[in-house]
Amino acid sequence: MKKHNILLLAMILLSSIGFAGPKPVKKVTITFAVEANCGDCKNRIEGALDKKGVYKAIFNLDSKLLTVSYDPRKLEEIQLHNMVAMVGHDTEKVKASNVVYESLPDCCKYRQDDDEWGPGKH
Amino acid sequence: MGTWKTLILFSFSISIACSQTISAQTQEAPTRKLPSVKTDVDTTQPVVDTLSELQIKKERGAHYNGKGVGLTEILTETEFKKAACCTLSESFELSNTVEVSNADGVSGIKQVEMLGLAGKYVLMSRENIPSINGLATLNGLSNIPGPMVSAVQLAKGAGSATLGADGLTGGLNYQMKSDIKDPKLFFNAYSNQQMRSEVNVITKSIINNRAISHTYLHSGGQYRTTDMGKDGLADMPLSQRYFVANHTQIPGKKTEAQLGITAYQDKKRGGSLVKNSLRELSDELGSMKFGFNEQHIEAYAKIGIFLSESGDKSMGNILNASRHNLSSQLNSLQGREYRGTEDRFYYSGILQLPEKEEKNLKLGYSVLSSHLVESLSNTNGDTFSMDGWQNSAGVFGEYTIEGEKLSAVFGLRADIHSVYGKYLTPRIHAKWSINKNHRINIQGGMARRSSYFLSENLPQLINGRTLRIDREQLINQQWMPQEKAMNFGLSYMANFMLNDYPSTLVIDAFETRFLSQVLIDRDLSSTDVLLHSVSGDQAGRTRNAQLDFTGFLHRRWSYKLSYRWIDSRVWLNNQFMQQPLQSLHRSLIVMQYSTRNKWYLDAVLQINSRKRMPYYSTVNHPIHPGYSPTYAVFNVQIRKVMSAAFEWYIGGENLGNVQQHHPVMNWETPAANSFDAGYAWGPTNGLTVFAGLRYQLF
Repeated sequence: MKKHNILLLAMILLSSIGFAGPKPVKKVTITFAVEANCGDCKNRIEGALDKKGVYKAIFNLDSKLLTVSYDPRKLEEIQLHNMVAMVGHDTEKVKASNVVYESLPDCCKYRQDDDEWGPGKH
Repeated sequence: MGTWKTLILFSFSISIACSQTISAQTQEAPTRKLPSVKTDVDTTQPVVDTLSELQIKKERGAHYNGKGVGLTEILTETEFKKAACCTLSESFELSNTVEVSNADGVSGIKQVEMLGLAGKYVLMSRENIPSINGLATLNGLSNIPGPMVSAVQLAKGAGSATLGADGLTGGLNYQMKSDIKDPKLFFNAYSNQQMRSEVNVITKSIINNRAISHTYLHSGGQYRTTDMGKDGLADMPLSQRYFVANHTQIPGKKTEAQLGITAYQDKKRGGSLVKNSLRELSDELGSMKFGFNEQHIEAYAKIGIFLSESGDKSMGNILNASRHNLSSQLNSLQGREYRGTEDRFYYSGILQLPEKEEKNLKLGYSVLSSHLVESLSNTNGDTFSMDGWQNSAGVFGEYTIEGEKLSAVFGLRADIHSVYGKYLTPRIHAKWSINKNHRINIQGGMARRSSYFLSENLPQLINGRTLRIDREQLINQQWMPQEKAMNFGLSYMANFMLNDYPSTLVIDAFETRFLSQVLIDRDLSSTDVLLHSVSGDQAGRTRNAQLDFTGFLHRRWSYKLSYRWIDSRVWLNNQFMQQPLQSLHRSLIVMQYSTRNKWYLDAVLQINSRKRMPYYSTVNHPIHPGYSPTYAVFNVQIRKVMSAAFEWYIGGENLGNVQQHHPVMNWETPAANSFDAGYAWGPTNGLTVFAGLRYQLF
């Protein structure tokens, strides 16, 4: 009798899990590399990610790593890369267009072949 | 009458930093037609070095780390926009460094305090040209329209020796909007529900593709008043102010010049109101009338001459000539009326001789000449009149050594003064950078100033008390002894990341120790007011400590927590007492939240601890129990930026509706000796709702 009860209980519990399904993930934090030089770049990158669905975006100038926590129900990871590239900064996955890149102020020009303003050269 | 009009002024002064910026810019962008003029970066004052840092950041996007040797709080337009009203003196609501309060319950004059001492002890300058001094000190900051100011640097403690021997507690340097990047037209209008309204216009024009000229126009005033306490006296006087100015910069490779002219006029009328009216003042016999008229005109020039190719060796000339007229009917029932006129001329030449990049020597001289004519008529107590010159000449030197860990600025000036003789004023500032993010400043110095003992204390003379002036102390029957003080300060500044966002902590402590001080004593009795000078054992001292913490809760959500403490000892009623009408503790919480689509929400909460009231009677008084209550003022503002061209704001001041109903003692009997307007501790006009707009045309 007791065994039966326990089994029943277990079944109820299992079925309830089955109905609810896995809880949707509301927050994901990822880190990726972004090309940048200075505090202005940091501002621009973090500003570009100040969008709906992004909880927080912090760029570390020393390591050149951008840490973003976002809502995966609203955004896909590649969209974050696109947002950064849209304002002129190359990421691991998306390269900024030349037109946008050229519009960056001199101190933010990070591409090596451009001029003397490459990373580590200022 | 108009000798000063013909003066041509010069000046300039350029720090190594900014001249380097100029040369760097010309190398990078040789095709640029108009080299940007570093008007706001003039660093005659070592403490203002941080400003040039900011300028570089703005123009070159370089990193910013506080490099200046002293402790300087910089307020920018972004800060001013958080509290939209109105004049420069009111723009310090978000800072604990400078405190603003009503000087009394009738005149509407704002009293400014820094390090617990009156604004008269602060050396005020506009782009490092000494400004707002002498007769203009009392109401000067209120005559500068806030929306025309782009930045203010508040340097705590005795500042640079190059600007003068005065500045006992600090330096306040402000810049008018004068950048080449400014819009062609700036327009601002503001009004609150009590009909305090103003209009500000700035236009920029470029002449001959070279000179940049800004013209400033302002009209504003209080067109209706309130009577919250129903005591028949206007809480704020009716007023009308006009302000007109021009500032022209002429950049060049060998010389640079800035020329300008400023004129303003302010008229206030207060006192008894016509029954049931908030717009008309009573003219009846037996009604108390107050009037205050100011006219000011000033011309200045700064001319810089570069002595070397790179522009780091340079010679700067500053010239300033002004006339200030001040007349005030303080209390019609006592026939108390003040009239004063001052003509002032100032010239200073500074030679800048950098040895190496990290060592800099400034040498210079200055001449100051002032002609003061003033009179005070009075049927109750002493009268006074004088007509005298103060002429002084000084030489100064300032040596700056900048190291990776330790930096120091040594300053010394020697002056010879026609009334006060010869004196030396030494100044020292030192900075220890523990590492990139932590620094300690230590500073000390001596300072002196000539007291304008009547004009500075006008708000304390709006009463029926018998005025006594200690004539025995007067030099040549005209001048009070000079005020002398030593000032020491210690501060610690830390920058760190908190919650992934940058935060700053600043802790400072200052002491101002007077050797000689001019005092107005209303604690002696309830029917007398004494103006005299104290020195030696009777000279007071003020200690001040402040803690500021700023940070972010979110990218668009910033906050500031500030606390300050003051301990003052002033020789009043033949003993040391706490300075009247000053809170021991004051806290400030400032928050700003903005949305992605440019709505800005600003909130400020000020908490003031109780203030000691001046002595009034030996028996307890029902309205004035000796101390004011502890009170808080809460302001909120909503601003919406519609486009680069247009924004509007709406807000409420003093949302808690905290009011002092009777800032005037014995308002029922204006003709009595015990009538006194000088008991104002807090807001007199309750909740205020305001709205305004800004328009820019590029």
